[in-house]
Amino acid sequence: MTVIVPPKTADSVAFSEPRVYFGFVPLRPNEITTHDSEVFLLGEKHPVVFTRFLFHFRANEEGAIPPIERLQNVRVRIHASGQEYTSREFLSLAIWQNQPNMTASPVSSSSVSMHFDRPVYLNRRDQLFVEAQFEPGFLTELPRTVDALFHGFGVETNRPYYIGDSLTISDLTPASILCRNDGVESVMIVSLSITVGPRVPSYTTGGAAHLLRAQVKGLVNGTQQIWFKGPVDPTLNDRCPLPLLGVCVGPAIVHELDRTPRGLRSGAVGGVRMQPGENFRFEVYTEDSTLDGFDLGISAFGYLEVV
Amino acid sequence: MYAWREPRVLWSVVSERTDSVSRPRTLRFDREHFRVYDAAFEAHYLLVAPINYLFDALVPSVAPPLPFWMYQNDASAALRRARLTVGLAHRNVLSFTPFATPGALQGVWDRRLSTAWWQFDYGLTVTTDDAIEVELGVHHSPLNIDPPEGRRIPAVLAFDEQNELHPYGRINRAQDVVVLSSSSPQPAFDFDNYNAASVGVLTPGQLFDQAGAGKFSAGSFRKQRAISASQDRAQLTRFSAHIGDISWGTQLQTELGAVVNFAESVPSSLFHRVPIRAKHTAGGLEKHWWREGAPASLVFPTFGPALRHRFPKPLELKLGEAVDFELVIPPADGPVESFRVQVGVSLVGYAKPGAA
Repeated sequence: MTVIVPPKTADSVAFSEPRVYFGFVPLRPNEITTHDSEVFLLGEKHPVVFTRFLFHFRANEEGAIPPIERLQNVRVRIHASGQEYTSREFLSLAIWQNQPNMTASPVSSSSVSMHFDRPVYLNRRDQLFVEAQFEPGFLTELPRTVDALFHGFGVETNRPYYIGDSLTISDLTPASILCRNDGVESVMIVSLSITVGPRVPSYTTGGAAHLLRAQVKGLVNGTQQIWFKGPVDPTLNDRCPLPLLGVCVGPAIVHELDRTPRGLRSGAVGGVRMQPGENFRFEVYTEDSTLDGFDLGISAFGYLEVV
Repeated sequence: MYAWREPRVLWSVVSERTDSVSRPRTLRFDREHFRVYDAAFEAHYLLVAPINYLFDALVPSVAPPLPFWMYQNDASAALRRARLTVGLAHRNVLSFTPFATPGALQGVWDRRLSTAWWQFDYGLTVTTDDAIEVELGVHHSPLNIDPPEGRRIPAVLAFDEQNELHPYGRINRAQDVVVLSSSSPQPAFDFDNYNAASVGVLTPGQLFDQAGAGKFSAGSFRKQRAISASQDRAQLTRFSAHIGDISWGTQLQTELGAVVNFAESVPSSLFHRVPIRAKHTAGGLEKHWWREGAPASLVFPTFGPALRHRFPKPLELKLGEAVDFELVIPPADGPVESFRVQVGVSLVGYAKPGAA
């Protein structure tokens, strides 16, 4: 049952923090499948305003991933708190796409980028922590260089800031990239880009974003919670596949939710506001037998509203 | 302020052989195709697209058979050196090489997902009794290349609807359809009647399946309305289409593998090869939104496979006014560019019923 709470105004929001809820749905030909019921359930104390859904295949344990055009053959139906979102029919993922995010393929296959409609405030000496881990099955694809870069501007000078680092990862253990504001002023972070480079030192293969999973959290600022929340996995521990983070640039299909402010159900940046305890449910159907055994990755991108 | 606006597209295609041309040649589009015919018109976009090619970029491995060259050469070659001039009332208002179209880089269209859309600048108001009918036509395949599962290419037609009473603000009216693939040697867009077997430009009756395989019918549109006692009208905000061409691309590769270097050749989108029409069947002006049979790529300005230019200010045209388009093509300088330039141009905007 949906709990009706008094409307919150933008003024009552103390701060916002990006959130990505993600999960996976197994693809079985001629069968309707869905994800674990806990995956898109809001378990936080504050509401989240979702602005976009992203869809992309997940690489399997052997390191294989279906060609992106096969997304045409996957159909999706979305329920939000028990009500169908946009249509009660299963619609091809291709028609869900309503926000362009692809660039020239060498870029969108290796980089993902997300823009924050609500900037993230990063104090002097504070750090954002990016954790990167390659998917199992891709050991032979390593070592590769991973870059994480936050972009923002100084709150006093308005000058641009680029806060990030890169490192070369050669095994499947998680690696950390610390992004620290060493400047003399606080910075409003407005976007994040993560890039997976070609194999080093030969550079014989191109970048491949689908090989990597990532996680972000603030070490001092914000809620100090992880930004990306997914199914519990004993080895991959909530890290999100990179394609599911490519809101502005990336290989995934991006569906932007309605951005018209609508009181209770949306935030100041539009979207759909979900209260704690509410959930999304994605149902998936395909007739394509070549997709048997693969998973569809789905993410819901938005902002936690701490009120 | 006008009460409402209705989508309109003025479009035309020119087609020319270039193998015997030794000097630049000027091709003029049919002016009557760009004459405002039912209500004042404001154009927001100019689209340019190569029509009916098999490949956006072609790198042949061996000398191909002649019929292959007649229609299936390199679309990018047709565009990259041609120069388009737009004239209004004896005045050139725009002149550019299509690949340098201002605004051509607003998002990269990816044929692998094969979806195009028109985000309406003005909400298109429909009452509960109104209906819109959209139809994708038959795909004429001159080389008889068809998907293995039959001559049916899956497609979807959809409208997004702003709905303030719905908790999530938006509903969607959509219909799965199929694009039938014909084995007729007559290409859909044989505008200069080049093929010996052709019988001239196809009529709407020949371009669209009579049984309505590609149709998002008025009945289906009306049936999907949101039921609400307090809401007698809604705003359509987006019109989109998807043509699923995976099997078509695979078959193309299988059948032409010996002729074409597929590692470097890029198949052209079926949006350039499939005709489309749309109209209000109840409400609106009850006329087709454009001359029937436009290639689908010429009617989706927001995101699609055509090159697009958005006018800084909408181009206002009164009833009866027309726009002149000229395309200057250079002489052919190699086999890839030989034989055929076939380019479509459209003005995409809105009719303003009641305006002078």
